[in-house]
Amino acid sequence: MEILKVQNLCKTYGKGENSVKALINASFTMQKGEFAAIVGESGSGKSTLLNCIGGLDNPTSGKVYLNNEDIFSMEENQLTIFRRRNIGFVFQSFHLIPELNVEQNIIFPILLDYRKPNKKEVEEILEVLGLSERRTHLPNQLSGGQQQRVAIGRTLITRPSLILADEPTGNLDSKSSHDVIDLLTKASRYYQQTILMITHNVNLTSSADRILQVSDGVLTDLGGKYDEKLS
Amino acid sequence: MMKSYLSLIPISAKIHKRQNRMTIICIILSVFLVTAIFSMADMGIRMEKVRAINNHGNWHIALKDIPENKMELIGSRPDVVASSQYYVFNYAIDKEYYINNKKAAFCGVDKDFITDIMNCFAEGAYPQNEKEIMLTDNAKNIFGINIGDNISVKTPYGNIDYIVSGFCKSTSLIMQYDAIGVIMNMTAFNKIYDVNNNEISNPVYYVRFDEHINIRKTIADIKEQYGFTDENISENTALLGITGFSSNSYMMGLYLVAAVLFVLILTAGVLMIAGSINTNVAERSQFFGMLRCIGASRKQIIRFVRLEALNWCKVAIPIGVILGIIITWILCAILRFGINGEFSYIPVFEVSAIGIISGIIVGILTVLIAAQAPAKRASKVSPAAAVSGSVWNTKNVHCSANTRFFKIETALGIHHAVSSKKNLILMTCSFALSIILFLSFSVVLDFTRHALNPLKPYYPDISIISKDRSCSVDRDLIDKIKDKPYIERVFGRMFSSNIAVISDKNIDVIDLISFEEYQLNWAKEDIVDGDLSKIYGNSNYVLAIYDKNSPLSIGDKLQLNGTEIEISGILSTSQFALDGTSTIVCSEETFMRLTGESDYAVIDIQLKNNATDEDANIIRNLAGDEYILSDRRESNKEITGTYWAFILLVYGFLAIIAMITVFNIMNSISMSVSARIKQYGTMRAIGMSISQVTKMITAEAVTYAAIGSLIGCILGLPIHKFLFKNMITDYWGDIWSIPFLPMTIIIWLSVTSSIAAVYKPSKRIRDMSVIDTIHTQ
Repeated sequence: MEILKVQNLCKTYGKGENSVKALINASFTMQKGEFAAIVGESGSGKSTLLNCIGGLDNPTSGKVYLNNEDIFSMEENQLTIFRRRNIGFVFQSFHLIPELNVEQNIIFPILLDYRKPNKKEVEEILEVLGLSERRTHLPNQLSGGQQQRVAIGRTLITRPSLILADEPTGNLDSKSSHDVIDLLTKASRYYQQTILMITHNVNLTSSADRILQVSDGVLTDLGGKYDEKLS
Repeated sequence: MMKSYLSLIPISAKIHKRQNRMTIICIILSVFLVTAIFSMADMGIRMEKVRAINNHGNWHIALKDIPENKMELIGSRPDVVASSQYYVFNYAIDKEYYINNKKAAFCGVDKDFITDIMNCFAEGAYPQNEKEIMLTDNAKNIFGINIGDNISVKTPYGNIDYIVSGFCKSTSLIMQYDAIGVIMNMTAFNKIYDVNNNEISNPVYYVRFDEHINIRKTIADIKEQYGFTDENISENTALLGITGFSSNSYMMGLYLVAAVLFVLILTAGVLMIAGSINTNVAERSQFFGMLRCIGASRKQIIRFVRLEALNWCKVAIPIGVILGIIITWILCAILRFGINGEFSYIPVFEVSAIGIISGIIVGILTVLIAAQAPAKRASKVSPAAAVSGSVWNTKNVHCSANTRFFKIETALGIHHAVSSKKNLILMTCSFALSIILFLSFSVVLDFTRHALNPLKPYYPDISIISKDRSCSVDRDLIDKIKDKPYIERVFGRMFSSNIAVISDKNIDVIDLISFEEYQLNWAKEDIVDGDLSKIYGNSNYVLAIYDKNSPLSIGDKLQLNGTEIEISGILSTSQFALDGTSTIVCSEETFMRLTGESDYAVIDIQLKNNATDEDANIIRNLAGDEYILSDRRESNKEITGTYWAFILLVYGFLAIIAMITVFNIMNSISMSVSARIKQYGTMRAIGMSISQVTKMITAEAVTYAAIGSLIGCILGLPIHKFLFKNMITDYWGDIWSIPFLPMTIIIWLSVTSSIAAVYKPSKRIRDMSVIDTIHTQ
């Protein structure tokens, strides 16, 4: 089942002589439960692509359909609510809410929707994340790896159609990095979550079903494993 | 090309324009307020100088009872600019000297007196010989005479004819007595003096010194040199005070008030700017950490922050000073052309050096003091923090937000407000301080209203008074006057003093006054206790006027000429009450029944605004010479002027407090948002809508406002009560009640500015893309 459809996405920064083309006609689709990794050099346009897909940034041209809905045809408020319910974000710097404890951070998107969180689901996610014992801890009482796990839990709670992860292991040591990737893979397999992840670390792409490469704004679909495609 | 690391300051300032804007506005506000206050004080002093010269004369000392040879010696001193003899008789208008049936006062002076000492010259010329005199200019209207006309002065020893050589300005005293002032040269004066066998009055010799010398020292020299005592010398304290040569100095008083305000504004400014710089530094902790990483020492960081702060002064101080000057001009113009009265002397387009210097000093001082703590804080940023990537300062968070009772955005907003105790105390204290100051000053406003008697509604423009305060002014006179087109209203009062009474309150005599309909209606405003309605018509009920030494209270009974009267109410004040005797007010009918009198002691006349001097003359003619006619129009203007000056001052204070409150709230909320902007960006990315962000900031602002208002009221009300009791209850008997109006105003202002303060930051967040918000530096 097709979840994401990106059509001729272009993003240009600046005007005239100073303009920089960050994204040139990027097009691809993703199926439900697919785990894709975007690789590319620094400044190649990976984050721009991810931000446009997440509706955080407006493209210069092109379309993004999520669940067959054109996200850029939505009003600001409509898009916010759509994002809240359908897209989950995992950032490199975790970006947890410092005033909320682990459990509150996880259920935050549900609370924003003025819904009551399902206790069973919360327990299950805490269990999967291995944070049951630390549910009342504040972010400043957690390690980097634990904080990132909370951030992943926050995306899982709404069961979004798409999880976007921007360098989720960028601030973590190798053990924590592997834990986070395992968790994302688990989410993809166990919860059938569609995940699009940016990474620098090619070793971490081994868990992904599919590799997309961005180079100077041009997206290339490498298909299966990164190593296989290069060899 | 950068010459030193400090060259980074202007470059950094260009990039952080928005963050710096709030700090610059804080500095502008402080500089503007101090420049305006000191400029206004300066203008006030200049105005008072002109007014003192006009009211009291342009002289520094008046020498009494000194021989003529010493007068000459002093007059020829090089440090004396002008001097004149001054002899006067019938100043109290108690002797039988008349010009055309108007009583006259006489003075003999030298020419300097008219032109240089009193500045009272109106037109014509100083009398050149013993046959010429000058008159006060009210004579022109009353008698219709002109320069060169002959006029006869009626003395108890016969008539003397003179030629009018000119006119001088009338004094309010002359106007109030409805008399004529006669100014003569010394020859003419000596002659009329001799002819009338007057006992020799004490001559006065007025002296004006060069203002560039030390006048205080010169006065001491003269005393010593000529052997004068303190009885010989009286000083023009009004003028000496204003020019700074008096210990009882008006100037010192005014500058003291300005200095208190200076400190107040400096404190408020330091608090505001310190907050701004603190947030500014907190937002750039990575930047300072990075500077430390690449080798900047702590001292260099401190210097960097201080100079950065001083760099803002380059823009802020000139703007603040210019604004201060413009506002001073506008205020002076309003005072001069809007209120007029005693402000007619205030200069409009003048620049005050002292105002500008004070503004500059406050600007630099505030910034230097305010930058002190943030500079140290910046220097303590660990270089590791710069590279750690952890941007939010989460060290202060000790407990999680309570999401059980409130919606998530409200819970977070409240948590933002209360999570940092230091911040909460600072914020609520600044709210509370504003409320306390506002409530305290509102008492001063009440005090001003009571103490200064702003032209009360019953104040007359002209009064027709019986000569011996008896009830002898014909009642029918009211009917003759009331229908004139320039009359607003006419009303009379009967008066009987020292009436014997019997009471069990140790009172033997009272003064009794009658009020007719108008006055009874006005009295409703002044009633502090009891019931006024009972005293209308022919009754046995009366009102007592509050006096803290009077034992009379409601329900007390007095026996007066065999009739028992009962006190049914207490009036806070009355212009007719005399000290020492209990004053009782009753209706006209009651008064007539109790005393048997039917005519008035006083008829008061209020004129319409467009009434002219000629109209006043018509009333004067109608009244005839049988009664004293008191023209209060000039003194009413003076009362109005003084009242408005005080009201303006007190409201000015209140406005400054309110302004600081509003600005402080707006600034704090904006700073708080700036500090959390990244967090808001993340929340928006996760799915928080703009309206939820706005609600979150509003919850934070309202929490500050609510706690601040509560503390402000809890502390402010007892202070208000204390001040009210000491300043008002003890003098006028008004009972303290909760000051709902000022409380409502300041709480409304605080809450409204808190809510309004949310608008700009939430608009800023709305206008920023989520990516920018997350990545903002």
